[in-house]
Amino acid sequence: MKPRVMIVEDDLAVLEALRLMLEDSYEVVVALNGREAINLYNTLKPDVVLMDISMPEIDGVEATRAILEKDPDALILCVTAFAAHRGKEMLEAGAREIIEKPFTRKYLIERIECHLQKQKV
Amino acid sequence: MKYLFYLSADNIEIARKEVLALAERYGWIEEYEFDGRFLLLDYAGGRFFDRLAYTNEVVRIYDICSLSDLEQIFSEIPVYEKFCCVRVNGADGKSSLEKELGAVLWKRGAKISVSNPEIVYKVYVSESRCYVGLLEFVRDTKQFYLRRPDKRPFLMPSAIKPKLARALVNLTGVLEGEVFLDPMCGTGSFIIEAGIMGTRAIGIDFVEKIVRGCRTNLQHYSISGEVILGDARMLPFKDESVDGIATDYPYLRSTRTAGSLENLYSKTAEEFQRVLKKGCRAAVVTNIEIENYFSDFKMELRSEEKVHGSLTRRIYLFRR
Repeated sequence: MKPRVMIVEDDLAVLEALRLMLEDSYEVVVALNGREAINLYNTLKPDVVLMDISMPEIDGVEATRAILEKDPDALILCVTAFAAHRGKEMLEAGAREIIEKPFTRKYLIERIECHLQKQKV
Repeated sequence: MKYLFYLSADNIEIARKEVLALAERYGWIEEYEFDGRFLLLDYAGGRFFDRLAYTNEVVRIYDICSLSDLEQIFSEIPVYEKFCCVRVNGADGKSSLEKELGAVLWKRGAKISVSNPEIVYKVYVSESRCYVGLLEFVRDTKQFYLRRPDKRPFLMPSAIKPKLARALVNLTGVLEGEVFLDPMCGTGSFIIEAGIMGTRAIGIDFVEKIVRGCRTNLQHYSISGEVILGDARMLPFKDESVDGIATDYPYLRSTRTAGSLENLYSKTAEEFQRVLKKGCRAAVVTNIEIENYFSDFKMELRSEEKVHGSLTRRIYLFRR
């Protein structure tokens, strides 16, 4: 069975690009903002969450904290083009890594696989 | 409903195809007819005029007649409560004709305002007949000026201009919410236009500096879109996942960094075939003839534009 990846992203073009890059290797589910991600996390139990930072309602930092509060083992990776802005906040909230754009599909999958392996151990 | 499209003289072939590609996606074409720079379309469906780049004006047709019947037509055409005027294109002595026809409306109780009309009665005089109708759309030319390549924060030489970029995105027929891809996006000419029109616009480029520059340009215009670092010869997407592709192949010097031309064209053609959904289109700009690389596609358009002495731009539309 393919690992389940939840993409949390409010920009539909960005969401689509990530989905198209990952769909061959993973089961992809999506949330359009932090609130939806928190609600969906418990029911969908994704293996990895790819979290954007700036989103309406509840942003990535707050959503990361909320998810980790319920499930301290949640594997959350931050995907952003603005690591310098709020990347530190995301790491403090509990994201395992900041994957900074631009990246190739190969690099993104390498980082996800690396964290999935660590999680198994 | 019959509409008349008054096409831009820049490239009539592209202008015609642009209208038909969008009409086909937004509704149903009953029939159409070309008359020089005019396209008469019997169409039912959603409105797509705001997307058009190579159409100057669109008119809802009231009647088609000869020059001598115009006064009769204007004595019967519906008159509204709003301020109106008559504008004529393509006739000798057009200002006197505008006055004469305006006078017919005024005698029937119409409120005339030449400087600030709410309704414009339009007459186009072609070689064989006159088209009479109400003006529904006038292209905003300023928008393309504001998005010219030299107005963007990230510049590269020979970037496609916004008007042509918009037309080529439209030729693919991609709709709002569908996936549009430029696999060699450069400064983002196609992505910017596709993003403005509400598609899920994705760009790919081989060079990290260019990807960052393209992202800067998207932010500059507050356009939703994504730009990925990647190789057009190995697209990072699954099969049949893209609704439209438009791209401008690199010319000359920059081509060498990405491998041989032969390799670039043959591999990208294979990849476009793989990722495009069945029936979807790729609009391609190059400086050489590339039909043989795209032999698995149906070629719907081939057009040439002289850019300068040593460069002829070739524009193709391929359908999977």
